[in-house]
Amino acid sequence: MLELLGITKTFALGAERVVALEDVTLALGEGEVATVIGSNGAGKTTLLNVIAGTCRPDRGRVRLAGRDITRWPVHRRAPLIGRVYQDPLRGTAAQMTVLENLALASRKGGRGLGPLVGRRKRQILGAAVAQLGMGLEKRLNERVAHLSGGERQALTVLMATLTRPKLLLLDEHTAALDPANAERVLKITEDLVREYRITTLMVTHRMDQALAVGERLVMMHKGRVILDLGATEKGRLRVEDLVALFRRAGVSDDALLLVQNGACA
Amino acid sequence: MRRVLAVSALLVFGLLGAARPILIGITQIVDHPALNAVRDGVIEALRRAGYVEGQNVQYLLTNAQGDFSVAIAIAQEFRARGVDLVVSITTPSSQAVVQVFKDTHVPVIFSAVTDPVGAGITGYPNVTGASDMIDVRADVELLLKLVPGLKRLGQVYNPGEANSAILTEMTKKVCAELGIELIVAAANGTAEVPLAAQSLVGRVDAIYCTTDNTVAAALDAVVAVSKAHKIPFLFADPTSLERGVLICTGFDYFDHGLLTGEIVLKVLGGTPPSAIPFVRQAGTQVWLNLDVAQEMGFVFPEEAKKLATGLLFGGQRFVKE
Amino acid sequence: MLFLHAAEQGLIYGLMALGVYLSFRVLAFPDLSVDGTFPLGAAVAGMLVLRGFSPYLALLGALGAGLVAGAFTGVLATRLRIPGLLAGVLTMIMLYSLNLRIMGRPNLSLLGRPSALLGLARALAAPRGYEILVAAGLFAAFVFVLLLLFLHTELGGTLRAVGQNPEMVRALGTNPENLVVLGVALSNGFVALSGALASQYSGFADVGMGIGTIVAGLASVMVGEILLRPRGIFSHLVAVLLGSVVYRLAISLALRYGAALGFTASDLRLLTALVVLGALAAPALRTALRGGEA
Repeated sequence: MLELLGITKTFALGAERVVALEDVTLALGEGEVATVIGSNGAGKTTLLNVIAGTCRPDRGRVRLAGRDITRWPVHRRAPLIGRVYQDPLRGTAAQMTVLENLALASRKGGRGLGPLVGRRKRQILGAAVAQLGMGLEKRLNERVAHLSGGERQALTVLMATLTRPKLLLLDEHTAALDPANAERVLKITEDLVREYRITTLMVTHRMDQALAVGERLVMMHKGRVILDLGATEKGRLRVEDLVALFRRAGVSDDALLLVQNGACA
Repeated sequence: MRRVLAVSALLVFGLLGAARPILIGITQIVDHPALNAVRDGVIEALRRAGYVEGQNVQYLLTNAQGDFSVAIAIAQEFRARGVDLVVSITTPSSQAVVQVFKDTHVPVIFSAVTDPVGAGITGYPNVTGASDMIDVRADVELLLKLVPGLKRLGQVYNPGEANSAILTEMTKKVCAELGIELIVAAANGTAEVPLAAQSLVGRVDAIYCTTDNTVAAALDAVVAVSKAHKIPFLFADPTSLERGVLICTGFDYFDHGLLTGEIVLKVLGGTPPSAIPFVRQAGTQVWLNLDVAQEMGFVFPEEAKKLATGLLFGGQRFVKE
Repeated sequence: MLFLHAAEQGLIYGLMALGVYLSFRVLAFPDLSVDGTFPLGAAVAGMLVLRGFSPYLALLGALGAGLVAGAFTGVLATRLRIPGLLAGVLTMIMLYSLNLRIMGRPNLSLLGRPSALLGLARALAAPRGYEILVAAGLFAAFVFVLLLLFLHTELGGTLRAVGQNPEMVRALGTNPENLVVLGVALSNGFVALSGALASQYSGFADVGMGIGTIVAGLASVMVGEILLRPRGIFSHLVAVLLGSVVYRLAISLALRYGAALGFTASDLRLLTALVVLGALAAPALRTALRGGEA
């Protein structure tokens, strides 16, 4: 489903050149869920940006569902890709209602002059949001701004999967939530992804999460993929093993700060 | 007892009615020296005829501060207050007043409107007034006499001012008839006047500016160019002589106000506005600035000096006998 | 009488305020071109009327001109990546010269010419004295309903999202830039329509009549928001029209009572601002007096 072939991205930091991604090659099958872990500056977010289209690689190809999307603008890839960010505010329109946000997410591509929320849509979307188990189906007419961070993030996850995208990109999407909400959102994510067999790439900074979720594990360091484990190998690992693997790869605890440079990091 | 009270009340009300001062609304589009001079002229003309503020006349003085919607609101306010007469100064204010009062009997006297017909305010039975149209032809002919060999004439103006645009059109026509080339330089605001004036240097034999408010506000810039490059400058406002203009024609806006005041008095005296065709300001003056002429090394032809109403010499004005 | 005229003007200029609301609030795009599109509408409609076209057609022409001008600003901002504020200023400056060209002179008299306001009022047999109010009310209602319905469509909803989270819109598969162009075009269409109506109301079109439009528009939007505290789109739109009426009322009140309070003619702007300030402070004062939080 997803193929990354030799993705390389370098960008200038003042006088220096920083290699964000170096010859990254990766393939995910349909419905496969992979977690991506690495220290700060390993290139995880840049990788997601390249796949999503907010960043163009210097070299390499991105293929999704058999098509080469390397040069596609963001809004062209958008119908195929869902994305959830760390910031719970980023995935929704704050001043619009829960129902309106869901309605917007329920159709990708062209926008017509039909009503945004008709009666049928209200029923369908209401049922969908009830599955989250957070009582949001009773708050359809509330503005999203009044929802808590956890509720907003859960909503964002639902919105990202509503149209059964070919690929779901999760960028440390529980990192900004408290433990209880983080658990809940994670569970919602797993349920949705399993139910609809959505190929998923989940970036996380938590080793336990990286091991617990999905059947693939990708470890990155300084722009390279240093570990790519399949289900069996991953199943045998514990957190301590993962830490040891990190140390062996030469990752120090000092975070390498990558400059926030526009769309790339 | 009751009858005494009733009669007293009647008397009091009668006296009050008789003593009710005439309410005159005066409106202008902006606060501007020339427009203020018109307003002052009107009030002075009435004062000389015995109308004293607070006694037999009351003025509502307003200005729209450049906002056209306010000009309408002012006119509506006048109507709501039941003014007995309106004096409107400048074209937009006059248009607003006529729009509000055109179906009433309240007399409207406009002033400082260069082209009343073009502004659409003529033809109403209760409207008349004074036009400040200057005699462009006379000015250009004067320049021809004062500046021998004049072939190219320059003019700075603001194309956004109704009055000014009309006068520039007239200047174009007159120049075409007299075989002179007219070069115009547009300035949309006072900040652009210096550049516009500069652009005429080397391309014209003389500069002629009409009653353009933008030029008037930035007059010093044009004077500077005129003096520095020795270009004769004629400005249609006689009060600007002391500011360094070589030749001034036209009339004082205070006199225009007096003229307007005369019309107001006629109407107050019983003549209906429909019987008074609008008047053009007559009596163009011609002032020659000998001091600036000396500075610039410019010599007025002796013959031409005879055309002057007055001279400026040694900082003093001298009127010809 | 005072309220009547304020209401008339408030509704006519209210169309402009609705346009400003659309660009400034919904799209979060500060559009300064309205100072140019307002007189553009007046110029186009004025010329059409003078050439003998029906005043209604003239309004349509004004609307079209506004749409084009707004689209131009939108394109400058999105395709050419010129900052929104600057794009609007550029359009405004260009329109000044364009308006002069359209009219052929800086001032056009429409006194005695057919007016859509009067025409509509007569057709509806509106009561004497209230003709303009009824007609203006109808035009305002028309635009109000149009905007209300539009903002509830899929396209309109996406437009609203663009102003709050353009990234989200992009991720949903629509190019937010196209929507910005559409929104700014619509906004200026309303503003130009307002300018055309204002010129038919005042009896003339003048190249300078746009100066201060953005200020009046923003003041109307904000006054309405503070007075009504709107929650949804419907109440927001009502608030904008209310704010416009209150703003005109402030001017009328300042004109009427200013002199009595010792203000001179030149203090009008200051007075208007004070009245608006009073209107804005009233709810806060009320709450403070009750000793509680709003």
